[in-house]
Amino acid sequence: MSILLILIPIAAAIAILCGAKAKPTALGAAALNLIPGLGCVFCWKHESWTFFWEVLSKPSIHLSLGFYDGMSVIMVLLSVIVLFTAVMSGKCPEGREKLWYSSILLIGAGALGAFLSTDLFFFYAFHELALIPTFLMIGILGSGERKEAAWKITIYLALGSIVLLAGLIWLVSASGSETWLFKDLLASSIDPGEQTGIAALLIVGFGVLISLFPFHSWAAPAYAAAPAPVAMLHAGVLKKFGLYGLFRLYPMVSSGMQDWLVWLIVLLLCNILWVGFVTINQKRLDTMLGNSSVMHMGYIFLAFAALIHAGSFEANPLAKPAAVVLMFAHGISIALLFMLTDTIRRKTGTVELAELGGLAKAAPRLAFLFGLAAMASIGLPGLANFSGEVLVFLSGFWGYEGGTLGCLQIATILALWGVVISAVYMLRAYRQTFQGPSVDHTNSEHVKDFGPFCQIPAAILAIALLVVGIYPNSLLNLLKEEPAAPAPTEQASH
Amino acid sequence: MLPSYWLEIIVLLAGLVLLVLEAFLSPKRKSAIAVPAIFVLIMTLIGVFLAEKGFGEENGELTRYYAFDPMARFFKILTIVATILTLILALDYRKTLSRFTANPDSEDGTGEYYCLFLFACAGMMWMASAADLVSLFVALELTTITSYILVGFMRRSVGSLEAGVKFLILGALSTGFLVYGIAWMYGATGSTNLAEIGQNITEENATYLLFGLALVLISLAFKVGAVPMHLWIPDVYQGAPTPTTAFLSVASKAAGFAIAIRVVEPFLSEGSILAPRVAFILAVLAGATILLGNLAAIPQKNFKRLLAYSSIANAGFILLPLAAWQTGDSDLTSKQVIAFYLAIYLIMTFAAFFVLAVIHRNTGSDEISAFEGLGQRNPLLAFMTAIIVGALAGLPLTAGFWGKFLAFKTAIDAGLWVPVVLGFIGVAAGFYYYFQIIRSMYWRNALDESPFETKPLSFYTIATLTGLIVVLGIWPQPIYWLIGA
Amino acid sequence: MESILWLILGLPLLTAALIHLGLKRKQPIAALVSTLSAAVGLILTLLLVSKGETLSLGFDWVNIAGFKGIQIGIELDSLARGMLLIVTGVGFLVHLFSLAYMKDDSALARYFCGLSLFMFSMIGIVLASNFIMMFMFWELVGLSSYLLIGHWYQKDTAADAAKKAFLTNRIGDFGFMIGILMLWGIAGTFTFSELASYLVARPDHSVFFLGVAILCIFAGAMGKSAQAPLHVWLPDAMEGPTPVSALIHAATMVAAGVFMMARFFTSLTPDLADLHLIVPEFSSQTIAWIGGITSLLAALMATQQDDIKKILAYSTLSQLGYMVMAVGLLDPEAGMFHLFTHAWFKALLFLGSGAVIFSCHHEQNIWKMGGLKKTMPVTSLTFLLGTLALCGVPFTSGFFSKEHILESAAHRGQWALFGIAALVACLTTFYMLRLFFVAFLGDSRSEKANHAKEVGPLMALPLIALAAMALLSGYEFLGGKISPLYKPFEFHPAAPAFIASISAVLIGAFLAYKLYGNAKEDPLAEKSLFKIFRNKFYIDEAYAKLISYDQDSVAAFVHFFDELIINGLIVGGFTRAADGFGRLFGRLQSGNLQGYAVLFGLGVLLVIYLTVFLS
Repeated sequence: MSILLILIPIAAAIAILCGAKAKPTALGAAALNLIPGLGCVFCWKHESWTFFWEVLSKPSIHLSLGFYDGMSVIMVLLSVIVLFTAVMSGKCPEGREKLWYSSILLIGAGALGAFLSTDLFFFYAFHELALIPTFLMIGILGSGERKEAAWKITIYLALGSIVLLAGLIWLVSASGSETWLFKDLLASSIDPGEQTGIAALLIVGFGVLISLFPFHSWAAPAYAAAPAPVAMLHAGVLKKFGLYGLFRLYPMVSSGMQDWLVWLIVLLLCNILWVGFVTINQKRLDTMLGNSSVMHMGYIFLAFAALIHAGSFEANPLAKPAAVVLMFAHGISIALLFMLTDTIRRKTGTVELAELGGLAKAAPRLAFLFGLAAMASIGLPGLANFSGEVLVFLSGFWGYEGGTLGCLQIATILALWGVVISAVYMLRAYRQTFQGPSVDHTNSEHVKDFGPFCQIPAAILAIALLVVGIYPNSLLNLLKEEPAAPAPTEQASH
Repeated sequence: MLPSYWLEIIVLLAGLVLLVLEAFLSPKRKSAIAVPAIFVLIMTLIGVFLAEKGFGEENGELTRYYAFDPMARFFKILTIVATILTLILALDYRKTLSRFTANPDSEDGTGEYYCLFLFACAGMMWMASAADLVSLFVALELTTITSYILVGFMRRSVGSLEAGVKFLILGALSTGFLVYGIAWMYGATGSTNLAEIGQNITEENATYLLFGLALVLISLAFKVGAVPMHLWIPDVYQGAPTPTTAFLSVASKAAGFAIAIRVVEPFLSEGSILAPRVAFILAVLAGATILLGNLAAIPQKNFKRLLAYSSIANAGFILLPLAAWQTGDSDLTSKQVIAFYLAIYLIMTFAAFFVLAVIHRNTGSDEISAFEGLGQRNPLLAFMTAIIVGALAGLPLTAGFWGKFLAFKTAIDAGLWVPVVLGFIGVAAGFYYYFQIIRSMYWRNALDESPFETKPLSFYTIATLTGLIVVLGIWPQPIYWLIGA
Repeated sequence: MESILWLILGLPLLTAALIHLGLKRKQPIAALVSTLSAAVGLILTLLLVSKGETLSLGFDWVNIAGFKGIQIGIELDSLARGMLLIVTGVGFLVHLFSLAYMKDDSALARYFCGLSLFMFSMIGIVLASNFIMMFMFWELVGLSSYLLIGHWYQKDTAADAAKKAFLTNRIGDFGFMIGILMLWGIAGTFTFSELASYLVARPDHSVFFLGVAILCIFAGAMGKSAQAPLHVWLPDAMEGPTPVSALIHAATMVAAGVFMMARFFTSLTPDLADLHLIVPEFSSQTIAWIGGITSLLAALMATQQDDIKKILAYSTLSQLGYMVMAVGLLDPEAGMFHLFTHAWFKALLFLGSGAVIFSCHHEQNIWKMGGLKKTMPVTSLTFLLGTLALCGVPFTSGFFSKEHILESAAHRGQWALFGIAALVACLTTFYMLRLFFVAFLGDSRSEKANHAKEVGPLMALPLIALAAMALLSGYEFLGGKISPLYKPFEFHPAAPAFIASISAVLIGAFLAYKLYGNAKEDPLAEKSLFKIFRNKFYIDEAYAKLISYDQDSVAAFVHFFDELIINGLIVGGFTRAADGFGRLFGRLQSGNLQGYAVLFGLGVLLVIYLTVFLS
């Protein structure tokens, strides 16, 4: 059944390439995908989700899909929501519908595949599948510095994936596991000496994909240039792949990660503070958002650092839930922000902060939703990101018994300053764009509030933010007990 | 049933017969000779599957020289398929070919071109089975000498001639080393049979054997285009007629590795005292080849030359499992990995050369810039090219990925860290230069918007190969069956 | 009972949502709905107060295996009840007032939506049963104040003021969160009701870090209650509509800091008498002094403001300083009691100024007013009562609460703080009477003031109600019942506190009369010392410079480096290196045969060497 989640978009993409009417097909597929995507929340432990097919005998690699644990469910949820909204809200340039919609669907399919795979190999492969259309879209249909940006992200992420692949192969061969299935890998153990090296490769490999400092300089230009749906899908969903992977594989390299803890903390603080300052200095809405999404990765890494410091999921029960909630929240909020920024660009023809102002007068709904998303991303209580961030900070102080502060606590405190920083740039941007007197760009007659095709997806995302923000248990309950997905039996296969 | 050694004989005879028949064809349609050639090859291909050892102890003499094991069978298949594809490629290439031969406006004097491939093919099939240094040498020469002609075939093209000359001289040089090496090995062990040589390795003759082996390896490195014997590759590949280039870069590389396996196997197998030394030199060659091939490819502006470097790089990647030399039955053995890699390599490389031919026919240039705007001019072809190039770069879910993946896995299992690190650097560089094609296809605008015509034959071949790349990318098991894993 | 509490908390939120989603077009209805919900809130609160029982309830907001979880809970006790009454009471009156004051505003619905949202968040703070929940609503009041200050967002000044308020509060909350986290580590709980027992359970906790934690938490209070050096946002916040200033920036939200500290301290120990045993000296001292300094600075600044709302804003600052000082003196009762009385009379003053501004057609400069007591008798009278209460004239509510603070200062032997407090009391009388004399007495100094006419009943009613509270809320029969914390007042004519406060009032009144009895313009305006007061000690300017020089230039600098190092050197470097190697190998490909032969030979030698001779 889980295979449907991947097949539907792929089939639709192929159909579009073969000449089916692009937008309806894409929209239909995305909407159809919502059904299993949302349905899984209620019955994800059920056998019928698993799909199992041996692709290769030795090394034994399976196309094995299913929900490994609550984390996968949440990521799938995120993917289907963002995919649908991206398809619906995107404004395709004349005559490029085929490329546009098929690429979006393929990206979505890749992301879903990665989060559904319970086999390390396809977990990796699906993500790569999603990257190619991303590159193409940025390069072909992007705006502004598209060529440079596309070339940069291509090279960066390609290199990242290579390093990652090296790490994964090493991981598997070191684990001596028969198969590449998560359940077998996580059951095996690796000698600490090798763990150190593997951990390094994983941190760097995944780090590039997550835009961990100092591998972050691809992100901002790419998101600025990318067509809105691609920016939404990559910043919102694909980027989480790396974090998902780190948390998934962590138990295998727990002691190896320990050796890099200090480095990781330094880097994630750079993500938050250094990149935070870079963000303050941005003059354009889109690059600002790009940088801010880089910055917020730092918080999720903070949760990961807390996990490493504790040494196991049990030793710090907050770390993983915190990270997962924040991943979801950030995914939704950044997607909404990119979507609305694109709307602003279409309406006013610019995203230069200096050229904007007083937009709230002409487009109150837009202003409201943007404000909501902005508030979410600076961690206002009642919106999803706060739930995540507060848990992250708590996980940072987990095990602090009073007395002198450990390096993790100090890191958490420094990271907290990031909350102020993000408020600074977000409110600046909001004030510049929506408040103050209207200017030429914003009071021309064709600037008016946005239509349903943008409003509905925006509303969906906003609701998601509110639900998780007001009652985080709605997500956390999925993470409650963490049994590995029911082991696929022979009957389950095919 | 059909005794296996007939296969070579059939192909050889077919070559001779066609060579004679060719004389009776009208100068306009000399290329027609390719059709029966292809037919014969297809027949032989079927034959390969039917063939069996076909000789027992009664004619034991032949056993000394001629082995017929899964490896041999697989390499024969590989060679034949490669030759078929080459001939197909040649058919669409005939215009260019005749332009540079005896008489530009007819196909006069191009008939031999198609027949010669059969001889080369026969030679390679034999190489796949060579169990003795002598038969190995003879088979090798049969191939090599034919390919001298194939390279220099376009008499009126300076490039082709120059390439021919270079190839001839350097080739002769390497042959010299081969003979010299064989002599040393014979001197050391008193036998030219590889199995016996393997049994007679002792402390005393170790040094002489190694010396001999080094010389043999050098000439093998020349065949497969590994450092330090790679220098001829870029020039010759660029100068030679495209079908020849494709043939050299796939078939003769494959054959080269077939005999390389045969030669090093006795030295690397269990209990051989020389195993570490041999593995070491192989690892060195592998690392150097990967690094050099990939980095040198980065600045290339010419697609044909780029493919030349990429074929060097691939030689390096294939040397990895050879140096790693795994014989475990839980995973693939090194032999199987090499075979697997070559099978994938054949598909990708031929696809690339077909694309190159199409581009050349339309734009008259082999430069990467010739791809610019292909995205608009012929979206479908561009799409397929993107897949092919992606496969060459080794993207997951394309066939190309699996080859590299298995090669690296074997090397990592064997703990060849330095070559592996170099390998990953190489792959990274690979992304850089292969993606330049995609970039110029999609992100650059065409110089002229005129639509892009592809001959049906080439088009369907490209489509088939691309399809294979995708299918095998998701489900490589079929190749496992071929290599008997 | 539970349902009533949830209703009190939830109703305003529902109202806000309803208005935002449904009533954007039907502005008057929106206004009425919002006011109605405020009224309901008040009635229910009165019900609670009359019942006067305490209870606590809640549900899990976050629960994770292996973690105690976070609750959304309600802690109802006298403190919460009293504060709730202040919030709903003032809230309702302000709603009422706004109906008239804002009737011509184009975005009436948005305004009332904001008000309801604020009511929701503020009630949340009051009822919160644990620190995390309080922090959440803490931020939400920040948001609603941001929205309401920026109600006229098309005005640059308003938009900037809103932003400034939010950011300054963020800085405070930065500390607040750290404090919460540290306290969580030390005590092992967020819940107020558990705090005391948990601390006892961990006798070996480090006193120093507890003190640090307390100070960090206090940082939050500094943000909300605008204590120096985070006070700069409050005066600017007067850009918002005047009723908002009355509700949020005088009566309730700004007092939340004090309330929070009181809630915190009272939950540290069952018996407030031995609070000083738990709260480390250095932290309580710091708090008290910050309060004292704030009240002094603000009072001085107030003496030279001409904008009627600004004067009130600074007086709010200085009164908040008073309360914080009381908290720092470990006498939260005094602090809360002053908060309670202050809420009424300061709201009264703001609404009064609102009435004045309204009828003077948005003239805010007191020097352009004058003679209003003739034209607007009701407003003037109520305003006078408010002023007297604020000055702490005996028998007004302000007198009692101020006494308590002075007393506790004396009682703790903090004579320096006592002196400051007395001086501030004197200054307060001075600037408030200055305001009253200039604005209401004499004869009108502008057209607008001339045509001012008395406000309608809808505005007058809240004024009168508040005036009554300003007079009476100090007395036992009223304050004793409904004040969050109440300490009976016993009268010692010889006590230093009494003498100080009386003399302060007299001196202040005398000076004010002498200087402003019938002044046409400010006689002190040219005095350089007073220039400094007028310019708020140049603190705002300093901050502006700090931000532009510090933060922005750092940002620019870092950005530059990000581009140069990360992007230019490292990334670019790798690519260039690879390219260079490539070209190098390319150069070997000279194309001439001899060259190849040579390299070929070298290669052969190398291979032979590696194979045979290297071992």
